[in-house]
Amino acid sequence: MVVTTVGPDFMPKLVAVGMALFSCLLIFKSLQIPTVSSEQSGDRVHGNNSFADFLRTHIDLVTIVLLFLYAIGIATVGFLISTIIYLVVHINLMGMNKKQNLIVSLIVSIVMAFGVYLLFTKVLYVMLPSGFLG
Amino acid sequence: MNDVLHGFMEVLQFYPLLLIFLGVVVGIIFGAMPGLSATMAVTLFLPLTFGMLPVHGLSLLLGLFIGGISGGLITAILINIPGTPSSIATTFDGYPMTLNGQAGKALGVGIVFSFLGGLVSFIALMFLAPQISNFALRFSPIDYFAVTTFSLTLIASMAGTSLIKGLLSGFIGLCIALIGSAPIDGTVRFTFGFNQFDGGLNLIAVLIGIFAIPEIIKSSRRSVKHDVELVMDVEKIRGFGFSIKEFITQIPNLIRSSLIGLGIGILPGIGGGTSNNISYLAAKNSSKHPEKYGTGIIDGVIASETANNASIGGALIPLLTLGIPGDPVTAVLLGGLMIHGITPGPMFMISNASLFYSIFLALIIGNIFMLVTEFFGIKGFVRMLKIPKQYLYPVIVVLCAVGAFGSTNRVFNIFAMLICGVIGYLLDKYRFPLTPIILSYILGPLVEANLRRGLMFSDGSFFAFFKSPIAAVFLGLAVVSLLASGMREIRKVLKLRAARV
Repeated sequence: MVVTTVGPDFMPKLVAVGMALFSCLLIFKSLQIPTVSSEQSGDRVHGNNSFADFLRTHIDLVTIVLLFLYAIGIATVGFLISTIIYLVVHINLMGMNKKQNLIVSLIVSIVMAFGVYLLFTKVLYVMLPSGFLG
Repeated sequence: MNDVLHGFMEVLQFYPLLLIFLGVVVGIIFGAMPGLSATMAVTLFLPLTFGMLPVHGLSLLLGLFIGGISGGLITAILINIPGTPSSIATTFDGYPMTLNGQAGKALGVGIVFSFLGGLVSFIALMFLAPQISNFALRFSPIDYFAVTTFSLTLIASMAGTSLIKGLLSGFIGLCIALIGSAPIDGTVRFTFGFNQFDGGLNLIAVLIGIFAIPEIIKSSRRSVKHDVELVMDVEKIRGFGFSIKEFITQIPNLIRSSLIGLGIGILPGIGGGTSNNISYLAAKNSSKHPEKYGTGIIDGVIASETANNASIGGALIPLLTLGIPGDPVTAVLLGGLMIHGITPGPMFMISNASLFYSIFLALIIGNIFMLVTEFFGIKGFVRMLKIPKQYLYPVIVVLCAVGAFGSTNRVFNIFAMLICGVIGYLLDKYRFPLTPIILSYILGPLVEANLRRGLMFSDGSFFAFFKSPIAAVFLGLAVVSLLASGMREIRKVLKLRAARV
């Protein structure tokens, strides 16, 4: 009879071995078949504004940073204020190629932020972070 | 019988019915909107159900599930863009029908057969689930370990195009699951001294992070780089547009497609996103006129739409009887049930019998609502698709944040969600499938707990795992499924190399 001790260290080791094995396989496979690069950068829109260009070319990173800033905002200044600011910024970012009305986006942001806040806290009784500003 | 009546009465009240209706309507919009899926709809609305009774919460989520799977047919038929992966095969014949001026007929057929496919699978759920549950009650931890291991291998090998990447995604999910207290003895792992990690990463935060955040980053990019406006014309559509005679000739197709959908739904880890393609191919291969497929015939639309809705009931069977989610949406539902303190598994049918019947009735009613609202409201849904993306997605982010926070009232969850989201985004960018991450994140702890429990029973002997017939069969199947997909992968590599030389 084979007696083994399977403790809390068993799964992590198994996962590590598995990942190492399949990572090597993936590397090996990629060496065997070099994939044709399908990177497309030809559809870049060139405006006369260098900041807008920067946003366009780094849009994924900009979005991720924006999301993290929003989370930090929720943790510090609370849900309502950070949600309004975040919504205005992201709506205008995503609508930068269209005729985006700043006033409309501001109204939508305030209405949506208060709507979500009231829906969750007053109707569904889910608490939302208030931060030091309430 | 008492449970049946009680379960039905719980649903047949104003509030749950309203929730099912809202769920179906919102689900259809999510399903129809390219980039938003049934999974996303259920994930985003999960936080809404935290404060509700389990029956009410499930009514909403099941409505979203049904609507979300079905809604994809609208954009698939009208503009050749599948709203969800469940409707990919619907575009093959649905869009040609639109080009031939038969958009109304295609939509009518799609809607009716979505309804029928769903109905067949819900009835199957009703009759199969108690049987499977009874069988599963006899499972020892060893058997359970074998079944979950089999599911894990299936998920990794079936989801996505590359076996290696699928398996690696699965391992990443396991890594996320390892954070926090170990099962059985509660040893704290991979917390790096942060107390916040002690309980592990929150399920809802991980779900939202993996499923929603990558989609938001991608849509942000799409809207800034090249936004496609949806142009659809549905002013002339009325009636279901097909005759009784056509319906009768499609009955064999209906039966075959529902069984395929149901079967694929039952298999863990793969759902409507796969079944519609397989069903379409099966219909084409068994047809007397395969050359007509792709030119715009109702057979193709029926095969795809029947199968994807039949997968709903199928996916719920392993969820409710074994606690193993059958597809991404049921993975989210599992999270929803656990928040309400309900653990799906063999005991579910005994301890929550009335809830099971509530689920069944909610599905049937949701299916009827889906038929009626899609029939009468098709123009409304098409109009809804014109909501500007720049307003829609930021609001979705807000709901994500609320959802991650609300499950345990910790801001930490929002950061956990975002970090999972960035990981998901990077993996998606390099074409790693995301579904295995979630399913192995959910199944990993189950595998580990049952492995260790099983070894306690057998005094640490691995031989016990092959003595139990159930365990032996499932472990055998796990090996076979891995070998089969391994062979497929090797053959693919060899073919590619041959093609290059």
